[in-house]
Amino acid sequence: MKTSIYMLKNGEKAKIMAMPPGMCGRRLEAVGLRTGKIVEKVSGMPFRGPITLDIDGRQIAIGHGAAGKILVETLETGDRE
Amino acid sequence: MKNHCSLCSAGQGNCDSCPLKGGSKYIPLSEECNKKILLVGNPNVGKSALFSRLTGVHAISSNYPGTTVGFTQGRFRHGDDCYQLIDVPGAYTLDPTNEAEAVAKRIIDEGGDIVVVTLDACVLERNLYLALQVIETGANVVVALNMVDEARHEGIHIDVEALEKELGVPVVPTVAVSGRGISDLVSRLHEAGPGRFTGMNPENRWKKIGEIIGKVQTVSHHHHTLKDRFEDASVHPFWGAVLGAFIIVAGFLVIRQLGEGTIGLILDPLFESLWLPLLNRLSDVLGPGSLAHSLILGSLIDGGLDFEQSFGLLTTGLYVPIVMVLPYVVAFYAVLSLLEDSGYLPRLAVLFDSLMHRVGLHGFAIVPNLLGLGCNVPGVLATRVLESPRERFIAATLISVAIPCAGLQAMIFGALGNLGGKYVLMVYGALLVTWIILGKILHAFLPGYSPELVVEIPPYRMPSFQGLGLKLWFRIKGFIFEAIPLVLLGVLIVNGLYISGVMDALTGFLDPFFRTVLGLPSSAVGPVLLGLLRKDVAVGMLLPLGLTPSQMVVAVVVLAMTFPCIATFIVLWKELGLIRMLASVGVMIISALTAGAILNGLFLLLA
Repeated sequence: MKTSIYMLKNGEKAKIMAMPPGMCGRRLEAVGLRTGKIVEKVSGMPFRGPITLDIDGRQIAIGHGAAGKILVETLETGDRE
Repeated sequence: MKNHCSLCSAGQGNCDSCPLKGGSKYIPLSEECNKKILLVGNPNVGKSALFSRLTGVHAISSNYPGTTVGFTQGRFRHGDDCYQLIDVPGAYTLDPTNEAEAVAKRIIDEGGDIVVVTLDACVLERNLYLALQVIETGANVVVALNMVDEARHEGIHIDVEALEKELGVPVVPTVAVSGRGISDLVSRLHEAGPGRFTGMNPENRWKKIGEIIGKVQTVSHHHHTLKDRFEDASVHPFWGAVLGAFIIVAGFLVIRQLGEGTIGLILDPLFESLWLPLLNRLSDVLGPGSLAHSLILGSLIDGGLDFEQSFGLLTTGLYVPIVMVLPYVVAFYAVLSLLEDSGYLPRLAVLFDSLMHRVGLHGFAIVPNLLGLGCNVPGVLATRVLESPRERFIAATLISVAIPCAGLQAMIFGALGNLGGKYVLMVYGALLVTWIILGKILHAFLPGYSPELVVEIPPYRMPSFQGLGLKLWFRIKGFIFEAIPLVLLGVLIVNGLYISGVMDALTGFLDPFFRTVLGLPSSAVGPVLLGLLRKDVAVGMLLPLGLTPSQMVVAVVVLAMTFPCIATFIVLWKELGLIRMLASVGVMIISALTAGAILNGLFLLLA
């Protein structure tokens, strides 16, 4: 299922399908978020707060706005790793 | 500290674990160095710990010319060579995405004899991007593969020899925090050479990295540990907030104890017993009432000099920053640096991001705001960490208007504490509401946009105490050399305004306004106006006037929202420039009067 990374449930894993263009995308790529990468959502803060992702065993927090612009495809439980 | 090994007390070179065994020693900055080493790496890879391992305490920190990004330099000797080591700001890429990365790129472009690329073994893949970019520049590279212990715990095994072959440069496993591998690193510096790669585009670079990782890294299954759970909890909406509240409260209790203890037990007695007698003799020489006496020592209070109220350069001018503020600032920075190096600060940024977005900032703006609670001057200086001028203006204005510094908080308690806790709470409440509303207004009306939070959350780590000490020292030095001269200048300016009669004229002019809009009696107008520049004396003058509690609250809120001290005014000027500073001051005056008027209205309605 395709969705934005912001909409993932806690603990859900997904593969990044598309990154936002421009400076925003470059800042995200710099911390390791790239098309094709598999990420796990760790938690999300309420009131349009940031979400925390696990990527390659490291945690990255990104703001609500940026998170809404990253498209992902959720992985079935069997697809892991 | 000269010739002193950082690991043991036996002295440099006298024990086997000494990282610089074999003829190397720390040397002072004055000595000429023939080799320049650049220390580069992503943020949070232990670069600073590596730096202090290599250079000891002899280091200087400065801003890169024309920017607000700082970098640190130090020196060390190995064999016949003297190395100048530059701690390049942390960067993820050499295609800059922020000011720190732009500075990193410029320093690397200027070149060094050797570039030490520090990699975090736990996230090798992402770290290799910068390493490849550096190797592509053709520089002589040595790789420090740091945090190998942590990687092993996480089940990550890296074949160091294979990595060396792939990159074509020496790779040395290190644990900078404990000092492991540092002597190997130093002894292999002379092997530094150009690596195997030349210009690649990002896509090919990532492809190459994928190939390298496939050859050198094996990952065994990693079980969730207690530390993992604790880390996840700290960014959990509920447990994160609980933990955050606990850390903030505990932090402030520690700061208060440390600060009060240092003032009451050490600094105050020292000033009273050693400095005061000297000043009294100077007072006799200059003669009370003379111009020199007024400027240097201030006026006599009850027939003698008073550190808090005389308001001379050598009395109040030194006493306030050194005795009343410095201990809190030191304690505050000690706690803050600990939070920073243990990896908690980014989690606090996550907790506060949502709130900060409401006022056009993002989570990291919590740091300058917290700093402002200690002293507004470093708070405003710390707005440099924010990316856009718009964010810096909003944060600096909010700090100077609605964040009460340690001195101001003492004033609030001094004026209202004996009337009851609820009046103190009213003042804090009014400040918080002002912070939010003013922030929202600025966010809505200022042009431009605010960038999103993008922050790496490093695992919790035991801080390196040497690195912690170095950082604390730089911050304290910054306060002493940046804030204290401003306080002295401020005292001089304020005295000038009084002696020339400017303040008297202003008091007369504003009297009707204060009486009607703020509901304060005529007798309180003088002290409040005076308090705009001299908070410390204002409270003393307001107390005997017999104001009602509500009048006192209005007066204290107005005082609290205008300048904490003239030093903040000067630092705003320095950081924002003249025009933006004037805008910020305009906002400040309007906010203070509006808040005062609204409070007065509320009190009238409720009465």
